[in-house]
Amino acid sequence: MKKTMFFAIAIPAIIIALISISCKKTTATMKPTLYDSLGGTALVADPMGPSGTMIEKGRLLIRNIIDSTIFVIAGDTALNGHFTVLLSEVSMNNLTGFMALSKNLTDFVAVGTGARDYTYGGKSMVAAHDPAQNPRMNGKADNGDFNAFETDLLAGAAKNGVTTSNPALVSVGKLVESLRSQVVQQ
Amino acid sequence: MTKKFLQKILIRTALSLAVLTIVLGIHIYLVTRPSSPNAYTRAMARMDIRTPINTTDAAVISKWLYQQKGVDHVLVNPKTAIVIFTYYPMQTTATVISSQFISSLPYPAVRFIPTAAQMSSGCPVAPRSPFFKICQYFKNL
Repeated sequence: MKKTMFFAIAIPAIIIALISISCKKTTATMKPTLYDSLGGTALVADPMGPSGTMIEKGRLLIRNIIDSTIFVIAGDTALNGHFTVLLSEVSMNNLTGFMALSKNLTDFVAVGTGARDYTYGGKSMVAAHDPAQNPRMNGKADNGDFNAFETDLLAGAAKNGVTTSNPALVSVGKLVESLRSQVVQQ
Repeated sequence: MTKKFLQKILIRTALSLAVLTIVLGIHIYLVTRPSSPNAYTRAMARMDIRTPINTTDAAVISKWLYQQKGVDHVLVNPKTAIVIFTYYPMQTTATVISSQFISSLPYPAVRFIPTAAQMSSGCPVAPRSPFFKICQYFKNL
């Protein structure tokens, strides 16, 4: 009886304690991340949302660059074959591919640069670019595709006033370049 | 007595877990359910100009598109003669914009609409994590 009571109280208590520990934010001073240099977690008004919607400054800059890059890619015959889903029709219960891709890529870059308030729910870069694991990938990417992507990314950044000499963009460039071996699979 | 008590605890725990699972399912459904386009939804469309264009043409096309109601952002690539624009579906449609473009400007253009095959073989960054699949399951209930 006593044992049962003990387990009935102890088990939920342990679970709650574990959840609290895992969810607890670390208060120790952390080294600034690349995300911090892009604007960090300071909240600003979201120009694309309803009045009063706030967004982290770092995420806003990343989203602006991503959106511009998507435009550049969609108009670039070297890459736009991979992104036809962007041009899908919007109808009831079918949100546009543009907003979904914008969110996914923004999440991916934000997490990659050190954002702590977002998660990326997509496949790994290797799996996402392997036609055997991702049927939506219509062929293996080569170095030419990757170079074209990097060029379009820089063009997208330039459209947001972020030049190639910007230290944050240089760091993002290094981050993207580090993914080459995972994306290029032929 | 002990057995009965244990049985009671097990039944209550199972019931609590069942209720929590249902609540979680309802929460995931409500948060991730497909929603109709709203005032802030943006969609992207593409038009292909069927004649070579230069930067002056690109500027004319861009200016005209920005004057249309519901157009959000425009990019004209003079090298590929491709026009990309986003618009607010609650205010206009890509079909309306492209047909007005064709009738108003002297550029032969055609709206690009991807085929089902093209749609199924693009966009490598599609979320396919186990969590996404669970969300999709509840979305499609």
